[in-house]
Amino acid sequence: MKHIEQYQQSGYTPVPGKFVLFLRNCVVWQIIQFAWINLKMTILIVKSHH
Amino acid sequence: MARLVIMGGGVSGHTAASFAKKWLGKEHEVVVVTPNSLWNWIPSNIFVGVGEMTKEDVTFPLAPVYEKAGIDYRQAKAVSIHPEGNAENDKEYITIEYTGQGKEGQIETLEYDYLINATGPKLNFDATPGLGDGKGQLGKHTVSVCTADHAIHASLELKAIAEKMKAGEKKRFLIGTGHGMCTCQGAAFEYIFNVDHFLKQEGVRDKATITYISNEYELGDFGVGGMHIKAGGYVTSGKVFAESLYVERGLRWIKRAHINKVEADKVHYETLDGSMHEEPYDFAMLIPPFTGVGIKAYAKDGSDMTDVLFAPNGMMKVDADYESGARGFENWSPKDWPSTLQNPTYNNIFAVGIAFAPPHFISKPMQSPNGTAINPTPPRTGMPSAMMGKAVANSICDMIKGVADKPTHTANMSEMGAACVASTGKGLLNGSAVSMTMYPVIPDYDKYEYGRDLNGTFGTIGLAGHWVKLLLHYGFIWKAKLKPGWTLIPE
Ligand SMILES: Cc1cc2nc3c(=O)[nH]c(=O)nc-3n(C[C@H](O)[C@H](O)[C@H](O)COP(=O)(O)OP(=O)(O)OC[C@H]3O[C@@H](n4cnc5c(N)ncnc54)[C@H](O)[C@@H]3O)c2cc1C
Repeated sequence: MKHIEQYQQSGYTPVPGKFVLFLRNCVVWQIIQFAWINLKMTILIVKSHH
Repeated sequence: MARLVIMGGGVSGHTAASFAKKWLGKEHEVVVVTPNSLWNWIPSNIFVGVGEMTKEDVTFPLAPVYEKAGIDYRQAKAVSIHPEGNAENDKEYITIEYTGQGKEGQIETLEYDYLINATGPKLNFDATPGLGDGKGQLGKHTVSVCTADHAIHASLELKAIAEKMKAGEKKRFLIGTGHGMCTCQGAAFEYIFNVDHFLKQEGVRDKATITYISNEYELGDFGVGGMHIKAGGYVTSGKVFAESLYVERGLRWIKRAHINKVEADKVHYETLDGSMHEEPYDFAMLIPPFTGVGIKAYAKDGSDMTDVLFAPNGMMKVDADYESGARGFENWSPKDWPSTLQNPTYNNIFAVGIAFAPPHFISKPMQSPNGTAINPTPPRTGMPSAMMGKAVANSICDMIKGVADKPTHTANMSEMGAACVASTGKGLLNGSAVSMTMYPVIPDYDKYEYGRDLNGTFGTIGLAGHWVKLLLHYGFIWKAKLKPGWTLIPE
């Protein structure tokens, strides 16, 4: 069976589960994320101009 | 009529020139001195480096854009600044050496009323023996994605190695920083994911060992001392986020490393604990350290006064607190960072983007027991660089128009955010990206518990980031071409 490598870098790191992986490619959820990232970036830009 | 001369037509200089011309109109002159005939959207060189984009996709000729905008374009490099004129004439000027326009090699002088230094970095490959060719250019052992031409070379090498892997050979890939004092880890971070993706597409990922090598203390430092984000109900260090991305893709990493020698098939490196190591490779993309481009400055009597205008690393002095570095990491403050980007000695000279000299690092300075400095230098990424270009153009326009006699706009990295989208894949549905924003770039521990605003600092992974990256690519090239509505696209 494929298993994690113990006592290696990879043995101490969180990795995404099936649901998170699904969401990363789920077009509906990603459209919402797209709007969210753009909103975050817009706020960032507005706050950064002086 | 006043003349504004801008040295460097990259991200910050081109932004400054475009806005200055728009605001000054025909009454005043805007001159851009830059050695390349093509403008390059540098972030997309990553995709050229894996063969997903061509040089034409990421560059365009500057001459027609500047002609249409009424900007005087000199395809030349700035060689020296004479801020007091010379023995015969008090008027300040720069000397330039043409690299194109049929005047290659010719030297000219160019008088200015206001001067912006936006010359970006010198890619200092020769800082690491074997990384450079000994003449200031990329050496023969490794590849780079810092210019579009370097990226084409990288993609050809990558394709050639993939062919060998298809014939059954196993190969080792090494991607990261080529010196203990590099910045721009973000570019290596994005490239390693693209190489992983490319090898998967070619069906040979199982024959590759891919290693990231970095001068960062921990992954996710990026020269900004790392960052914290809110995720899954926790406030988490960016280290966890970055390591997770590497593990998910089966990439290993070496951190706290200073590469001190590059050979044809291996690098030699020292780590922060003082131990020496070797790492073999078949394909390596190593980012060089950056310095200033080496412009000189001369006083009226012709004596060298480069050290008045420039810091020892060749970057230009501005209104930063250069004494603050010596006060030690614990005493550094956001106030150390420049706001107006005006030179303290000559108030008609400004520096923006990578060309300005930072007061000190952002990450904690570190040294190995052998005295080798191993820590990232401060990044000045695209978004802050462009914002600095616009703010300085705004100040200079106000000064030219008599609205004020000192700068009216500021662009302080302690009050500015940055965004980074590291994307892989092509097309709308075949891609993924890590999107990160941080606010502010310079952490402020008096104001924020984690140094930054956790609402403005976040990271997410997925297809949406890939769309954002595509939007940025096409949006910024549209803006840089000064096409209709360009001012509506934010920096
Ligand atoms: C591979 C790569 C990927 C990147 N990805 C991202 C990203 O995703 N997001 C992000 O925000 N940032 C990214 N960056 C960083 C970003 O490209 C820089 O922050 C930005 O280009 C800095 O702008 P600048 O104007 O200071 O320098 P540059 O854009 O490098 O412009 C400097 C200009 O000055 C010219 N010049 C040089 N010498 C002279 C001279 N003597 N006289 C006149 N002109 C001269 C150069 O030819 C150049 O045109 C990336 C960088 C690299 C290398």
